[in-house]
Amino acid sequence: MKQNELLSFFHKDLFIPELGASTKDGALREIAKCLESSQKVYRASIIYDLLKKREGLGSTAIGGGVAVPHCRSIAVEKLTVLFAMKSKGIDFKSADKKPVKLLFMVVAPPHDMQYLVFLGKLVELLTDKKIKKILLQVKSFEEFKSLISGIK
Amino acid sequence: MNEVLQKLVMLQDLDYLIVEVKSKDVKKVQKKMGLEIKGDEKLHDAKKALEEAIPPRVLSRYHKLMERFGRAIAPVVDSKCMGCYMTLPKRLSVKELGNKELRQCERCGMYLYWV
Repeated sequence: MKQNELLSFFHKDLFIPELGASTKDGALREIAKCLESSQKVYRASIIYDLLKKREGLGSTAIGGGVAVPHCRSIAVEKLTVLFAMKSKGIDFKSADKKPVKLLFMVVAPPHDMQYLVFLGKLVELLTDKKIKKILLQVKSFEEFKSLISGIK
Repeated sequence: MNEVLQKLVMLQDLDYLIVEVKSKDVKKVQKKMGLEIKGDEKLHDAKKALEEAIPPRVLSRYHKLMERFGRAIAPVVDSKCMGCYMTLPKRLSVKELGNKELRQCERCGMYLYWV
């Protein structure tokens, strides 16, 4: 999967430049609510409940201040990605104990073939320290888009 | 939204999650992400609690459909049942109306969920 293809899954209405929530539970609730208000899901509680159950199996924080909460649900029509930031960070029970400042939520329908490929590619990008550093300074969706499309 | 329908959607999502955490491909990606999945017995507890909250007749139908088709709930997209691709009656083209009641597709019998 190339950068442009990866980028095609991100949308302006699913970008939260600064989360209001300061807890893991609050953040999951807020991102689920954002999916509902942007009409990507009919009921936020379905996604919130599932993301919470997934977190119950182990934190989705991948270290270095990044978390990738993810799940499959019939509540979404297609692979849906939300990008949110929290400048002060959120305790996501990460293995490296670092507060999470970058949050990428990925939800896909049960039989979506791109889900795992997308997750793999996303994590590959996010483990790059340089990219993470620049992402932390992103202020708008347009900035985020131009950053990702500029990566070689 | 119909309460039973919401529980059915959550139950099917949970059933898929239970299968997914055991999948080799998922484990491989999770490992690449540096994530470890443990304690999936919690999911079985959650499943049991959900099943207890669903009327027995509906639950029995759910299990039969899962056994037969591998899913029991079909999303409705553009007024079509995604289980059998049948176009639904016009009166069900609005999701607010569709999700208000527990409905089954007249052709494939799956429970319908307006995405």
